[in-house]
Amino acid sequence: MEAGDGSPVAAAAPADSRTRLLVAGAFVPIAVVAGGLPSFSLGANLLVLVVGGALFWVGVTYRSERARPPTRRWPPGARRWLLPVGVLTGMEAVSYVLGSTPEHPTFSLLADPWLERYPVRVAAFLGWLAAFWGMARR
Amino acid sequence: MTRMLTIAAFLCALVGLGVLEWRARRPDTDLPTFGDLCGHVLSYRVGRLPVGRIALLGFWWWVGWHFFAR
Repeated sequence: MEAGDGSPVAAAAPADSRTRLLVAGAFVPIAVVAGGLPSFSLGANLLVLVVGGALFWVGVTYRSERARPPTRRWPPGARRWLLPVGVLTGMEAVSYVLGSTPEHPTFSLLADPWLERYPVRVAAFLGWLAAFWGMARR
Repeated sequence: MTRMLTIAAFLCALVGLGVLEWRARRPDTDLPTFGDLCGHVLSYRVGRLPVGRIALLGFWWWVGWHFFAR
């Protein structure tokens, strides 16, 4: 995949199996603990702020010195992502402006009942951590 | 009624994202994956400041707080 100016789009850095094991060994226990912490609790706030803050710092500094020069142009075909992303963002904005009521629910209002279930909460937290790993490797 | 329409719109958008990702991973396509788009944003810098990384990872952090803590 190339950007519009012909330069390669930043590919995810390959992770060896040891790194994958290390990441899974750290992320899975965190998700298992986080799944037991209900929303609005002090524990949930502290965990997300501390873990998220530490990973944010790692993600911002990791590879930043040897990252390839940024490209100005988007990869060809990128604008086809605008429709679903625009619908999602637009619906979220409209529902938020209308008060995020049961008649006009935001995405998070719809997700809340699901996230009260422990397995779903653990899986979602693991997905959140995996999303970090996916971005940090780029 | 509006609740159902809202949920349907969210579902359509999510299905659309899934279809685009699936198409982007097929051989011989010029469609970038969602990861490619994130990689483009992450590479954006102003001088030595990794603005793209700060913005995207900051958004990621906020999403975690919004869904799991607030």
